[in-house]
Amino acid sequence: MDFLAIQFLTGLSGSVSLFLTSAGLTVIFGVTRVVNFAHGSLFMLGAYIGWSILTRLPHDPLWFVAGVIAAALAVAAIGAALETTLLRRLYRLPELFQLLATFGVMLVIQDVTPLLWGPNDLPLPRPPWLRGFITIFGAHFPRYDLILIAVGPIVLAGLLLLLARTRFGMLIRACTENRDMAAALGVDQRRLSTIIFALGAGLAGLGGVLILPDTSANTQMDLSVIVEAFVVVVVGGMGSVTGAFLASLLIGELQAFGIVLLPKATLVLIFVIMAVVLSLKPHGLLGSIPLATIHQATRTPFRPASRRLRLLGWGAVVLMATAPFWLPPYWLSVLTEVLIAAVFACALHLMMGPGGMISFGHAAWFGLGAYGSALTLKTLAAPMPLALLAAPVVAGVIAALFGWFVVRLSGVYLAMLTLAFAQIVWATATQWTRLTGGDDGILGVWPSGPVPFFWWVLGLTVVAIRLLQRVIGSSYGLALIAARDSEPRALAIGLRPARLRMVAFALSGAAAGLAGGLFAFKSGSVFPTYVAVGKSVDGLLMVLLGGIETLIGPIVGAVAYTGLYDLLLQTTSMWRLALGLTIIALVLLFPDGLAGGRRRP
Amino acid sequence: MTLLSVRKLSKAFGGNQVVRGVSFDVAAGEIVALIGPNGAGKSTCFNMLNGQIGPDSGEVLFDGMSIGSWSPDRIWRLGVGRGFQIAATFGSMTVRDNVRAALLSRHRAVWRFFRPASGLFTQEADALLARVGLTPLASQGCGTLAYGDLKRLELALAMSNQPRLLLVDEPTAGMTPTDRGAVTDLLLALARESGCAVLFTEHDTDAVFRIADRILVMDKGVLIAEGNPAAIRTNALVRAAYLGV
Ligand SMILES: Nc1ncnc2c1ncn2[C@@H]1O[C@H](COP(=O)(O)OP(=O)(O)O)[C@@H](O)[C@H]1O
Ligand SMILES: [Mg+2]
Repeated sequence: MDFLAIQFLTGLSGSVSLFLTSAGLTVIFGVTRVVNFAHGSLFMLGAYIGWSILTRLPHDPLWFVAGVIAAALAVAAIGAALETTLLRRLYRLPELFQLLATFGVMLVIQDVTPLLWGPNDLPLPRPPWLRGFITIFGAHFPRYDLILIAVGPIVLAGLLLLLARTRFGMLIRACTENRDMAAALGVDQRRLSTIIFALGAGLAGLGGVLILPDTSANTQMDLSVIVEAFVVVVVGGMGSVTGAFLASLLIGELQAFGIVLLPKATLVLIFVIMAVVLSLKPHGLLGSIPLATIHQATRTPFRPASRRLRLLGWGAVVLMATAPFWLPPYWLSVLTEVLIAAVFACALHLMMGPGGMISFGHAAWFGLGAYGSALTLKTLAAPMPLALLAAPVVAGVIAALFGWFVVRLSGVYLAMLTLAFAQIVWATATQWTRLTGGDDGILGVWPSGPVPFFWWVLGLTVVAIRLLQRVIGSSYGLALIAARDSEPRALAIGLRPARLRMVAFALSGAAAGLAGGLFAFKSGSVFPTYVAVGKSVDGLLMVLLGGIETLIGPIVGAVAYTGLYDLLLQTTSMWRLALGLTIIALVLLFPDGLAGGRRRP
Repeated sequence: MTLLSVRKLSKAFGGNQVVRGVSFDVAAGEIVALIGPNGAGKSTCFNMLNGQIGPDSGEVLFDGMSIGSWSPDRIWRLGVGRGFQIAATFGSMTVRDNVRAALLSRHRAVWRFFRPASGLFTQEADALLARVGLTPLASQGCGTLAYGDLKRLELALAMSNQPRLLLVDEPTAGMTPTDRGAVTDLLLALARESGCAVLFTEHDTDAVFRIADRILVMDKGVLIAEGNPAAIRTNALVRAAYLGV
């Protein structure tokens, strides 16, 4: 009983910082409709700035409070600066570009932070008053955590009062409920957006600095908190502060008890809860904001490639088939990588282009394919062809299952869920060491047989890409595009959008899985990094570089991106910074992709 | 013979009771206009009739079957075509592909993954397009069409399954007066040729009184009057709803 109570309190205190961060994310979304991927970075900056301030202040409670507030204000100022310089330009862009650009910001901050604070974790030296324990239920409970528990409801009450009682709050609610109407009534959305972004950033900073006494400031906290905050905001309902509070409590408790009951499966448990909530309430516990699906301003028909282009393509294939005889090994390896990247990009393209669904976690299917192949090879001692076959099968089946309950969700909800799912696959890959070898990975996944591996890659790439392109041009493809263009109309002519999308999910997952399987054999190993967020973003960038509206786009994008990436890796150690800035520049300059040309102003 | 029978249909959004206990019938082959001021609940009624939203209570009988809880795709298969108040078409496709998508669905040919769709049902699609006067625009992207042509395309889509009932929400809204007359004529001709019943809403009173066999009048979620055009013209409740007298 006492144990349960203590565990419950632990869950409560654990949820506070998550609540603060998620509340910031959710109010920003409510007013600006931007899902701020960089929100975790603001949280991280809160922790680092807090560390810098608190280590310089006298160690007593009052100075601690002052330091915490100063850190939160500093992050709020950073948020305001970010909004006025960058985010403001994103409001009119499709949500995918907003996600990507803010992801770029996150990459930049990831590289800048160690420059300013050094690469090591920074623990806060804890003065006695912070270290104290209090005896409740006959057990010791950290005094700081008890104080923390009070902060959540206080901030919630403050926010609710702000929303309900002030003119500023009234404006926020007006914009959250109906942006166009608010604009028509003369609400100055520019200023409001800046203020709200500062508020949200300040909340994230507060969350970051408050967690300092319990952990240390480190460079991984941005990603882990953003994934959890996404889950909270989706479960609570986008735009709802109270929903965020309830959902963080739920997640906090789930983690506190999950650690005890199912230490390895906490993340999976969280995902199950999320799935249950969303299948009962598709807008989350308290959400009501109607969400638009992908922006449809400039859609042009998919046309089959011209004769010339097709001849060129087949010519290139024939030429590549002879490559093992004349291309130096290093370049053959690069070419292999480009081909695999092209399969991955085409897989994602099916989902994002004709399917109209944003996937921010396509690494999940890539990784599942890679692990599926490697494990089939290792545990079943299967020959390589069978192991390669396992890749699309494993990934496709799991993608179909996952797709089955997420395809009803639209836009950002789907993007966040795919990301969350990929993180779960990643966590499983890291933690289920007996099966996956954890961070040590699975080694010795080498190709075998008489045929050079390159030919396997080339052959399967051609088959997979041709299949995907034919699917887009088929009856099914037309129906899928129909469901994307207008769901009510699709329903009214007897189509079933959910089912069409689920199949797209499965096909796309299977193709991405094949890419993963090929990559496993190409590298001779599988590591959890194959499932990391970076891999998903690789795919997104390839598709966006090439443009969503063309069939050839993802292939062009794969070639361009692999080249760009290799270049960055070779020329700078700050590749995140460079990549982040590149992403931001691309999004601002070429919202239609390279193949789409520069946007007319 | 009664084709569509609506009984005590109700719907609320939040606390806002938008449709309150609406009941009416539509006979096979009959042309019925549903009119009423903006916000009366007409579009919401239509959305419940073809399954886009579920009613809170009440019953929708089509050909004797209770379809109140059916999904739009099932209702479409029964032979109910739908035109939306704000034209809903597939914006990234050519006009012909819009109709082709509907025909693929009609002929249950959607789940084919390999053969190019571009050669399928072209003649049938072109015949439908000819019927609504869009032949010259068949290969154009749907995004380039004038609004009136989009509404015609919607009619082609709604007719693609040889429906027994057409539900058309404001077919001439947003058009020039000449276009309006033409589309109204087209609607009448389509109905007479195919023998399908039409339930339509319309703000253009000329069209309503010209082609409707019968008129239903809704105000604030309630059906306040029903009768032939001559009776509606002189109905005091209708005059009150529209003219406030
Ligand atoms: N999805 C919805 N959510 C909330 N209110 C709605 C929704 N659809 C319609 N309404 C409201 O229902 C009322 C009737 O709308 P509608 O059926 O479109 O009327 P009409 O077609 O007769 O003009 C209006 O007040 C409208 O604001
Ligand atoms: Mg209407």
